[in-house]
Amino acid sequence: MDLKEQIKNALKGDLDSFNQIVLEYQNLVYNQAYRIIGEPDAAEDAVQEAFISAYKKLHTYRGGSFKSWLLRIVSNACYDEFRRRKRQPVAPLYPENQNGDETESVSWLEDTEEKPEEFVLRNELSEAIQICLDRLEFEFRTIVVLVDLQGMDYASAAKVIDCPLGTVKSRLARARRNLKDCLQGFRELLPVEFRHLGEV
Amino acid sequence: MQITDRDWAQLSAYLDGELSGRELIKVRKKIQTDPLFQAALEQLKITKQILQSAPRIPAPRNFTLTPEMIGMKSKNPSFSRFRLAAALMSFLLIGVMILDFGGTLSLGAMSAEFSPKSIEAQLESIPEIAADAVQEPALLEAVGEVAEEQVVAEYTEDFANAGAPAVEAEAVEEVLAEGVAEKGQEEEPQDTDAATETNRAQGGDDLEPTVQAWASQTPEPLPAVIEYYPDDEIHEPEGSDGISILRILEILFGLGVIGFSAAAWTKRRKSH
Repeated sequence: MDLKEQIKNALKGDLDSFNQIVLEYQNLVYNQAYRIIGEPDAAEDAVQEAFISAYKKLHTYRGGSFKSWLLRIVSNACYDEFRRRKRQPVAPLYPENQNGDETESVSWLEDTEEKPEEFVLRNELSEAIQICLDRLEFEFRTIVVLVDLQGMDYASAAKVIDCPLGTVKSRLARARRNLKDCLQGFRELLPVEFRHLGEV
Repeated sequence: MQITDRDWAQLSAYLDGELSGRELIKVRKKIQTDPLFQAALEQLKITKQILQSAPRIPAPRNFTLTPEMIGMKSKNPSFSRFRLAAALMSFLLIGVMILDFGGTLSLGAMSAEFSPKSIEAQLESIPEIAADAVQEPALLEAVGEVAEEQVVAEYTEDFANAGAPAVEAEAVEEVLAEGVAEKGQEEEPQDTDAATETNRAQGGDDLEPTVQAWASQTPEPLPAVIEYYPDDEIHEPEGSDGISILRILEILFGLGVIGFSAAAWTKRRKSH
């Protein structure tokens, strides 16, 4: 059954058809949410809310890229979750040292039950990226995730965030610059080919 | 020369292939002529590659929706069927119980009519009814005709055997005919007695034992009346022995209601 037929059946109230779509897109959606929010639990909540919202608003889908339509809903759900978490502060993502300063090392995320070298090998790049993404403002974070992590073009990203192309271009450039600077701090965690990321 | 925000935006768009026309030519020229632009483009390229190389994190669980999540009513077909069957069984059970209850009321009246005491009373009244029936003129007349023929036949034979004169035989026949006819009329017993006396006077003394025997046999139709109500039919009316069909249906429908309700409840609990 193709996507169009699944959507058609879901519009008639066939929940099983919609769940087929959910299974097909849930990894993409979860990655988007996790990279924007930065917390697994909050990302899960946002994804679930996004799929519920998508089912209820399925009649508003007018063709075109279903991925863009779905990621727009996810981005909105992430924004809602982001604001909710801002109102109800949770444990800080960056732990503080004994002097009360934020630590930049990812070692605090280490799972003590796992061997340190394995943990670092598996997570170092992902965590470094996530830390740098978390330092971006929400709008910049969203656009860089859409374009560089999800591989969307500017036009699609513009539809998702409901902004003009010029805004996408400028926000993305600024986000990349900030990320470049941030990632320099994790140079030792990056693969060898990326370690010559220098200052301009 | 410093790279402005606009230059960064142009370089970033160039990297993504999002420039065209004049902008593309302009940026390409800058990159070729200015090493600073070349270095900036290289750094953006690496940054983009790092982001693209970020591992994909699989969804920790399935995010499939349930009817409860979207506020839909449960569409469990089995549950609906069991619930419908239980409701149907309930209606049938109620219907059968109403029938049974109504039947019990009417049967109660019937059973009072056919109770052992009333049946005994009816049985006791049967001889009286039969006796009354015997006294009915029409019946008595019919019985009298039969008796007349019997008596005539017997006495004709006796006279023939004794060699009595024909005149005497004819006289006897006339007397007998009158006597027998009048015998059935109980309202005038004196006439019967008178006829008997006449018969005796006319030499018909031999007739008396036969008539007396016949008179003593008149109550004999009673057994025929009693046979109409044989004991087995009176004391064992239909359906009174064992469980009635309605009772069986009540049990079946009751079990159906319980069974289907339990199945529906189990299904609903599983779906939750």
